[in-house]
Amino acid sequence: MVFSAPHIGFVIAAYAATLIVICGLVLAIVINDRVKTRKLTTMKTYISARRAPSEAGLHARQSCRGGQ
Amino acid sequence: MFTAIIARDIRLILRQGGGAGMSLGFVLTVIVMIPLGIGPDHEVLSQIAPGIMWIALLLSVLLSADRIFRADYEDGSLELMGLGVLPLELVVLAKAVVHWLTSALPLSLTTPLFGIFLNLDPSLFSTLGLAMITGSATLSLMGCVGGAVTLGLRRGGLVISILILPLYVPILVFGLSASVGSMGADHVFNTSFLMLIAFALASVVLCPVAAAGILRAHFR
Amino acid sequence: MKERTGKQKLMYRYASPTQFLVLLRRVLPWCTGVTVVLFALGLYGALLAAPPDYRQGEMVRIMYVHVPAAWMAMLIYTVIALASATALIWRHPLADLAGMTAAPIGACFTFLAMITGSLWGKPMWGAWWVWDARLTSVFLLFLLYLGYIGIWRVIEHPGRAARVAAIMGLVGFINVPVIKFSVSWWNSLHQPASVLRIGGPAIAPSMLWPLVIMGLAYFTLYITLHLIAMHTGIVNRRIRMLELRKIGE
Repeated sequence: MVFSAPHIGFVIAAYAATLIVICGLVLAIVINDRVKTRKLTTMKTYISARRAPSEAGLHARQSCRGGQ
Repeated sequence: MFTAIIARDIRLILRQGGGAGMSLGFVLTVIVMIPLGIGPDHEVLSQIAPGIMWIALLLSVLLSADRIFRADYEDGSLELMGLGVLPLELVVLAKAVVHWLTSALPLSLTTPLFGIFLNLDPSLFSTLGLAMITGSATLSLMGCVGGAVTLGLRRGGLVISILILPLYVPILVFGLSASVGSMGADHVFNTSFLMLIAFALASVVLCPVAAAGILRAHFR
Repeated sequence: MKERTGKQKLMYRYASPTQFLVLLRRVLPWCTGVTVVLFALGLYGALLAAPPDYRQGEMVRIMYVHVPAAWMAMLIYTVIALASATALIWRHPLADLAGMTAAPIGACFTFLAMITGSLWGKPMWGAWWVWDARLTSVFLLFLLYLGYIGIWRVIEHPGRAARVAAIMGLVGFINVPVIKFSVSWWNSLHQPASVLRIGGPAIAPSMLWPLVIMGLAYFTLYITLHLIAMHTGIVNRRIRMLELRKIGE
């Protein structure tokens, strides 16, 4: 591709716009997906912790002991 | 039952002071503002006049589309009508007829008269009127679809416009070419009119079906 | 139990979101990889390997990002129409979600098609926006997308929004050929000169293969993004179910 061709700015602008929009779209979709998946796992952990508090407490105590 | 709905709605609208009042005011506003905004050049005005008048017609029908179902939906009578003897599709068709008789048809008859203000070519008055009448039925029917979508919503106005606009474009294109076609080739004129009639026939079948489906979604 | 036909078996197998997620997990890495490879190949072809047009010079390279975007804009709306039909006729549980998640992707491609079309048009015809048949149709398609997305956002009840969106998706789809016909009719009435066609009367093979590769690259990109968005949609539904259950407790 010859960079000194006339109107080359338009070609560059077109490809740049494509890059920006596609990257934006990809980021928006992927980040939204990660956020929502993390929210779901947090909710699930919270619910299962509420359902079996004694087991959760046992796990917590065990991990604390491991940290010492 | 079909005629009963039509009669009742017309009586209601007449009692409330006529449906086309606000729409007529809107058409008048557009048609007066255009020369003020563009300049009084007679040549320019007579060129754009048919287009402006079609746009004024479309926009004012769009404005009044909201109220086709709203009143009956809010007091629950629309749902009752849907459960009655008449299929919901025919109820929608009845309401479209009412809207046409009280809004689209009067507008399509009076808007060409305003062509005087825009220096409309005198030979075009009749073709414009005829094209508008032919197109007005489709406009009412499509307005029903748009009105059905945003029933019961406060912030539905923008969505109605965005949804209806692509539906209106073919009517505008062929209505316009039917209006000015008499000045050009004959086949343009004939084709455009046939297209307008085709749209009207297709809408009579398709629009009530679509609108009824949407109304049923609201009734759930 | 009634014997199901092969097609029905296939459809019902992926009706369950869980099964769909299993399929997704297997297919997604492949899709991402293929997309990257195709884009690398396509960009090489578009920017380096393809020759400049004898009339438009280097300008013609915009074709390689404009035309695939327009193809995807059309394809994705067709997908939305198919999803809408499936939702209305067979009540497939994932069909509504398919339409809802595809729309923003389609709107982006349509927007890209408009922008690149505009950038191609400015040096060609001297104006940023030209009301030629193709660009006008793309703009109206953009409005169809916005209207469809608008329905999902404006109607609060998700089940209701799904049905209304499905119906309007189909109405819009039926309208697309009508719009194209009307716009080219309108254009032929007002523009005596013929509009420049892409790359001349026929596309040379040396220009064709980068276009095809880019087209495939855009397609696999769309598939990848749509699958990820479907995953997000299913996750969202589960979140909402859990939230409702929490309120109920």
